[in-house]
Amino acid sequence: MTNITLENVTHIYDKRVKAVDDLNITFPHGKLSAILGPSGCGKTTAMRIIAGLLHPTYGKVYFDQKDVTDLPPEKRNVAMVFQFPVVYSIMTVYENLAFPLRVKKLSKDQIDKEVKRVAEFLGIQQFLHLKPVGLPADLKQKIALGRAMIKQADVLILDEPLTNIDPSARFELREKILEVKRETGATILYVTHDQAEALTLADLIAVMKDGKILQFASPEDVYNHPANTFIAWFLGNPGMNLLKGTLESKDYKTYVELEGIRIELPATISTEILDRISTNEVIFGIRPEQIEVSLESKPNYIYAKVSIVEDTGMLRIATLNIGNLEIKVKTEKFLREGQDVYIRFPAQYIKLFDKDGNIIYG
Amino acid sequence: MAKLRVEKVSKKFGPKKVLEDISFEVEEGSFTTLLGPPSAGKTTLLRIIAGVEHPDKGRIFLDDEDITDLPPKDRNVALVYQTFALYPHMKVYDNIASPLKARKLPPDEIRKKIEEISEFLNIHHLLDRYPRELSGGEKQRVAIARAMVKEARIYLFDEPLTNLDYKLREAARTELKRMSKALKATILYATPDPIDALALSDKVHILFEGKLLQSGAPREVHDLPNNLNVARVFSYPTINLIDADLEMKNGKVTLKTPFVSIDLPTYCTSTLAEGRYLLAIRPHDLHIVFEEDRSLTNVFKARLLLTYIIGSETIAHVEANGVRLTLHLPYIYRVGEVRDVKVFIDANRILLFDANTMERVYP
Amino acid sequence: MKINGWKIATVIAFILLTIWTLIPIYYSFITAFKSRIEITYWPPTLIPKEFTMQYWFIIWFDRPTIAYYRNTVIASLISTLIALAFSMPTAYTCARFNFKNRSDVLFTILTFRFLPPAAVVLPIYVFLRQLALIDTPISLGLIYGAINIPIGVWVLRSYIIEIPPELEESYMIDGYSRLRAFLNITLPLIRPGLVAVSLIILALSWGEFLFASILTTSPAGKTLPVGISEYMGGEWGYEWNKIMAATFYAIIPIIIAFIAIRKHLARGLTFGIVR
Repeated sequence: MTNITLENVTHIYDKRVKAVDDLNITFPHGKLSAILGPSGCGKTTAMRIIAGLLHPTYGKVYFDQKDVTDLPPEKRNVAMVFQFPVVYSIMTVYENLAFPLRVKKLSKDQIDKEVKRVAEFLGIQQFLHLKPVGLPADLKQKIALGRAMIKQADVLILDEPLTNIDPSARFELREKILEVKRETGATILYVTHDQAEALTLADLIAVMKDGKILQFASPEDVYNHPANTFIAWFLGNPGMNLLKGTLESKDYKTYVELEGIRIELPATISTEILDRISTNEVIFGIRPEQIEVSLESKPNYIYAKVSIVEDTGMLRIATLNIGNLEIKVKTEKFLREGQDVYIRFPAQYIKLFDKDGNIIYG
Repeated sequence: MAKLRVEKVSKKFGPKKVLEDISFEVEEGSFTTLLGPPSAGKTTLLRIIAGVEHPDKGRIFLDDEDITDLPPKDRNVALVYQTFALYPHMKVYDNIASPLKARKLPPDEIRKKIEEISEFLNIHHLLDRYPRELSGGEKQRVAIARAMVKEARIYLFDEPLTNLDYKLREAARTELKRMSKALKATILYATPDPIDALALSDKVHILFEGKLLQSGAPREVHDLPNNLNVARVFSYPTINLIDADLEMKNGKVTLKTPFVSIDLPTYCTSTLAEGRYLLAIRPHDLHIVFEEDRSLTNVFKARLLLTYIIGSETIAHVEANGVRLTLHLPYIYRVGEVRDVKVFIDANRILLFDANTMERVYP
Repeated sequence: MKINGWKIATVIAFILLTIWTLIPIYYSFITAFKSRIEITYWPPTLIPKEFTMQYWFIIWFDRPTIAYYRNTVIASLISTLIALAFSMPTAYTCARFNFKNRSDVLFTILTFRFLPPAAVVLPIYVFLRQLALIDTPISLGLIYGAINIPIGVWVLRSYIIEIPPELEESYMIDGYSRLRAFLNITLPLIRPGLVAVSLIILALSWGEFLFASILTTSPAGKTLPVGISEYMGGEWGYEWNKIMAATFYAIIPIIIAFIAIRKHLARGLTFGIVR
């Protein structure tokens, strides 16, 4: 049950490349926190610093109150599962699982009991006597998970563990990872570039970009209340529509003006935002699936022309043109290219960001 | 742009039949997809059309001209490889210029064409770089630029989106669609992803284990697959398959599965016999029922095991009487632990396949 | 960094190994500065009592060393060019085309390299004699070239295999013939391999002794290895100082060549082709 804290952690490679920039974050004990971001955002560097594989240029790492910054991995009681299953091919599965316990010098009976318990938990007991060679990747990852469990590590770090697993086997492995969390109460860090994995598995998501953590919140909050435009775009399939516009006030009402169309904003927000921003340039955001689409003209609906339609099976992702603006919608309706449609932006889903991309409303 | 005709093409690699008697046409200006799982033969077929592989049997025609024995350089086709195949020792500019230099065009004409295409694909700022300095998305656009700049009779794409991050793939798919409309070209696109076929193409050909199983408009083939392999290939997430027994009693036709009984319209008595069938239902035709509605039939109890949240959609795995089913929900459904749910199966969307021949028998 | 017993022992072991390796080279070098009498001392001296430079000059005049040098250069260059010319297309074909019995062909080519030279040198002598090609560096170069083709094939093939065939195919689809693809795509990308194998073949030909000694009879054809061997035996005894000086003159070009091409051996070019 360990809290992992990073204090002013900065790491610079070769005196030139700043991989992580002044990270200050506490990953709470017993929870699965995902570190989500595109490649090159610094998530792997951050993970290696927490694991003890890398000493940060500046800053400290704490496990609860203990400063572990200078401790190597074996002294931190962390367990790791990597993208490529790390199993010792010269030992049997049994030996692989037993290895961490042999190091701890437990008795033969104790080891046997533990190995069998963990193997049964992960559903790999029938493979104990086999060597890992030739076993499928998902089985090997279960062995890696088993080794982590058996160590009874306080901290479990997973670095994109499902990337090299066959899609059909991923579902079960995900299940197992959650079961391990429930069973051991370890603090789990899950590094990934795949939003679906983060949204599915995590209690909390830390979104990273260019070495900084942009937001650390629950999946619902990161999805429904993104702190900035990058997060709004990165999450969602496709991500949020982001359009530049200006904020205007007229007759006690506030509007967002987007190249010719005017969207009225609920009265309550006016004073809130106008006080906080310096210019009236804003970025208007709404998710494609939240836009209401109608095939007939209705009051308060805006006219748009369908330009591109991507049928994705269950839903259609349509790119619409409103004058010069391009907006994507996601709908169960069957739309055709060139069709006239009418759309509405429900007030409760509208987001506004300032011109630097930070959230100001929504 | 040209029209392509593939006639009875077969190819073996050693004892393995990679392509068997493949015949189809690609109309001028159309965007046609070759959909099939990995090692179905798609890449081999594209390579044969490009001329870097020779078929054992069969002919290839471009605009009714037999090109089967022509070397690649005389065919005027373009092929975009899955791995992009950019020449690492040449700058981006020279990579794109390669087909134009082959045609011995004067340098200023080459420069003009490259300026145009690089503006169109937003890679103008990369012309002076080397391929190793580019990101995945940039490499792909350069590969496409090199193909497009030569104004080929047909463009062949071999899984161009597979090597991209999922976020890049989203954007790239829209761009590909936009490009194909602007370009007026004949495109043949190979992919294992059914969504590519649905989203991008006018026509789809299903390739499975070297054989052409079905062809048609994507939506039609998707909704009415002729056989089980087509249904399996053309669905994401994987289609649900359930053993079902057909019974006829008192003029009513009923399908009995381990967890629910479904009534079929009575005209089926003339077309179907009693017995064991394979029932297929797509994940998005199964719905979770939240409110009690006595009038709703075809509802059954199931155990919700796990959900997988993709953006604004959810894939849910349930188990009903020992049968594992996958649901695709158009909203976010987050559950903490295993629980019971009620699932509705849309009987209008059921497909029945003969358990032996695997051919579709209903609808 | 902690200092512990193991680290000290390792460092000492490495120092000893280095000395063991360098001593013979040093001793050879220093022998070239020794006087006629000192080379016969036993035990041998590590630092000459009398330091003399004369033998470094004499060897150019008391024997046709310049001719030997010339012959060695000609034979080695011809050998390298011939071996490359024949092995490049062979390597390419064996790498790219999947023809029947390909593995047998490759194996056979490899076995040719392991032919004991002593077994074939006499028939080759007779053969060349009938063509009146004895005692010329050109014919020697041809023989060397033939012997070294297998090395060329094996090394180049392993480099070519690493290049994805899609690059050449894409080039052909662009509108070029396979030959152009080979010249413009394959060759530039296997440059490290070409450089490496050229130098290997050059060095092997440069130092070859058996064929040279049998197939050459006069300064018209003799190469450096043969020439240096002439300092051994004969009425003057073993003139080690001259041998060593001549040897160093002989190996200097090869050493310089290796140092000069070091940067071309970098493999960085092929990284990142396939994403």
